[in-house]
Amino acid sequence: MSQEALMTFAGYGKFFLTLFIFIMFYGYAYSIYKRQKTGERDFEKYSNLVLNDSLDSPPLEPRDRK
Amino acid sequence: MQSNAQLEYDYSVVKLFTFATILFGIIGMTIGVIIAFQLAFPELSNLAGEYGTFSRLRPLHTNGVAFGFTLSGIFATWYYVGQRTLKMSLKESKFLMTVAKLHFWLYFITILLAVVTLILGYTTSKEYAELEWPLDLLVVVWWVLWGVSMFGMIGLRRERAIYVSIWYYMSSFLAVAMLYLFNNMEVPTFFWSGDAPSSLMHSISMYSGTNDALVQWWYGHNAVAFVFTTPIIAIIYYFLPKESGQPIFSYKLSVLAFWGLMFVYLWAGGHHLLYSTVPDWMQTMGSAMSVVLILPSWGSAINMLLTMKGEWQQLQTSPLIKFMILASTFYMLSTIEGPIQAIKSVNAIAHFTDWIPGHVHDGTLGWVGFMIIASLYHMAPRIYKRELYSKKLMDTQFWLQTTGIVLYFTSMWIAGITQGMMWRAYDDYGSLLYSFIDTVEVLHPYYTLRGIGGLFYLIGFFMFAFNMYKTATSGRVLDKEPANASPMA
Ligand code: HEM
Repeated sequence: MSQEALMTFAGYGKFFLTLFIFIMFYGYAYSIYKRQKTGERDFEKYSNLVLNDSLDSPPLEPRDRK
Repeated sequence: MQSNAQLEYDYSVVKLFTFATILFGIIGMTIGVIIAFQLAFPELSNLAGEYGTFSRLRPLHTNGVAFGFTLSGIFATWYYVGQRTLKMSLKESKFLMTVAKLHFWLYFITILLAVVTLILGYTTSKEYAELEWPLDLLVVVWWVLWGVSMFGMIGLRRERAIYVSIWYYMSSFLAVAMLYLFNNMEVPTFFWSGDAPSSLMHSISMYSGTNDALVQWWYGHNAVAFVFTTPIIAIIYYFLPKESGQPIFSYKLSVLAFWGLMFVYLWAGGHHLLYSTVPDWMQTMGSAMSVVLILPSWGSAINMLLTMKGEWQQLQTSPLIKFMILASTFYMLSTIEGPIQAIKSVNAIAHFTDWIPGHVHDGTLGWVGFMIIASLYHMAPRIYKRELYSKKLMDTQFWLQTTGIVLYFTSMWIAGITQGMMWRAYDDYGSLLYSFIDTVEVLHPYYTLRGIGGLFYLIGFFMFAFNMYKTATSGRVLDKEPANASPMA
């Protein structure tokens, strides 16, 4: 591949990669706020992972340990 | 699930790393103060032969504070925050306990060896990657051990949800592993030099020229990102809500800022190589990404400040909250200052001047140092089961160190910009107006001020060490673990 073709390829690659991540990121942001709003999932409750972190307080979302 | 009525969190490894944080903090910062005064009074460079010169001591300072003080603080808090938010105890697994202890001892030995080898002059000459190849191999071993303990603890957790601090610790583990391996690709010359004389301790980089510079600053800048930033964010996301008893202002924002930071940070290293032989588009990208970096950085910082909403009176009553709030404020300051310095036209003045160490230290002293100090203070009553020894001393320490930081960065701002302007000043005929020594004379008072500021910070650190020692040995014994605000006498 010629130098110029390589640079062009890298340029387009960088542009579309950034665009892709941009869309993913804002899509994710939108989905988080939407899920919170519709009550599908409460993200704010995860603050309690810090506030109730003693070993005998019940886990927020218990996990089965075999 | 088995009953955990008698089960307790195990803090033995936390205690070991706490000790290391204080020890390496004292060593690293004492050397910082020495080199600061050497810059003001060059005679001081000649007190201990080759071992006391600025060039020997500077890497000792940077390695001591970054990989000694900061990393120990990160590991201490990891074993504390990890167990608590995952709701698992190291006591539950002999294997993980052994890994954690081994992690500590190998780490400790490596840093001690680092001190010795750097003093003796063994260095690869790559900034923040100075350690020679045998030490690099040791680093890889304990880094992997940290990973084993991290993912092992996550595997044994009772809590399904993984708290955002743990994400930040994980990112730090993964990113540093990748960066370290790539940047430290080196050839030990001893084995390939044939008959030519070569030291067993010597190696050369696998990359050369511009490529070497690029890999170096991709690593160098992200060492700042994944040693001085993400793990410290992990620390503040646990300790500020815990100490203040307040839920995070917005958990959603913390998650978004996380992904924003992850994507943007890795592209910003090019700003260390503006106006160099690196391709122009990479320099522009480095600048652009640095400016974008303001968003996720301020996202976390503002989230922390807003967490105190309605609870600002705690700032008056608790020196610990003061440390943490000032830390996030300094985080905001350095994450606006860095992007400004990364703009090409500003960088033309700022590069190679004292403004850069000025910028480095409002981040490291104000943000990293204060957060690690605050988290150790918060952990002390829980791990030693004793009340903090003296609130008054803590308050004095806070004001002394804050004054020290302000003296440090203001003097370096003025010194740096003066220096940058003098270097480029020319007369009507295009001749330079000043020679190098002219700048040195003008900068002398600012160097002295910086040394004094650093000394204030160091004295404050000794107060911290004393307060911690007294807490562990003679603080009032607590009968029950404090829920939020740390008890202090
Ligand atoms: C007692 C406080 C401290 C003093 C007096 C001090 C002093 C210094 C001095 C004089 C330099 C060399 C600057 C130059 O070459 O022009 C330096 C560099 C550096 N220090 Fe400190 N330091 C202190 C604490 C810290 C801490 C706590 C950290 C990190 C946690 C830190 C991280 C660094 C780094 C990364 C550099 C290299 C900066 C660069 O290459 O631009 N320092 N310090």
